[in-house]
Amino acid sequence: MDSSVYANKDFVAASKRWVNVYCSKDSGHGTEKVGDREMCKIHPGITCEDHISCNASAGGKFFQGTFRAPATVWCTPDGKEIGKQQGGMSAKQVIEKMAEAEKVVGPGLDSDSYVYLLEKLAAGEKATADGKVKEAVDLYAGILKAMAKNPAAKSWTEKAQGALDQLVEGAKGRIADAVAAKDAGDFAKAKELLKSVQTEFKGQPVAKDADKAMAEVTAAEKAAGKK
Amino acid sequence: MRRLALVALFAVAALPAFARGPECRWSKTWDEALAEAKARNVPIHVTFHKDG
Repeated sequence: MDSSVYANKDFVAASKRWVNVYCSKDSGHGTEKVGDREMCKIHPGITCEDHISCNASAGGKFFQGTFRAPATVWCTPDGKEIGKQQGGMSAKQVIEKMAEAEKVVGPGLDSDSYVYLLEKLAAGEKATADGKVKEAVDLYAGILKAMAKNPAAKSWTEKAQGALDQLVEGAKGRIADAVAAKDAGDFAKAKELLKSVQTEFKGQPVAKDADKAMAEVTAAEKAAGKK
Repeated sequence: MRRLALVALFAVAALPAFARGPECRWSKTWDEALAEAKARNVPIHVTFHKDG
């Protein structure tokens, strides 16, 4: 199954709709260097320690005593068995069994979107923590745009929207501070605050609020100059 | 002739690396698989193998 199933292009494409766990207590097949790490020679995406650990954790859950390998199990997201088969299976057979499991579980998030969301949300959090507001806004806005038509990503887009909303609240606070500075006659400070919102939130509705406030500051400054 | 033999040897040695296409993405631990499957609401495909 190793070469006939897991590298099959139809299987690889379909497998993005599930989580895949490879279990083997054997390591005699050896390793190969990938970058600076020694990875499993059969499946270079994981180490032999990984598949040995998975075998130790998952083995006893689905088979008692000896069983005929290869064996395949398909289960729910919390690890409850839906079905299993001992002996080899073709890529088509595994895809069919996993499609049955998908019907039991319901619509889910594909692995490409999952990896994208994890990466971008983490980058957004880091940018926010580092005070790089424009970068964070662009990351969260990018998530919302990319996942707008993916209903399985709803909880993730809600996280991105929540994080963006918090940044927007900060921008609204800066606009309020700018208005206060304008009223106090500190036009330079008002402009500086508004300029930062215009730059960092370009393309967001709050940037339009900053544009409007900037026009008011310019008008007030002009009026003050005439006095 | 010797150079040709060396090129052929290199080509044969490099063949598995070039021939290997993309594979499915494997979880690194069972707990990681459970956490990801719950987060994504997708089923888990578990496969057991032995060498030889």
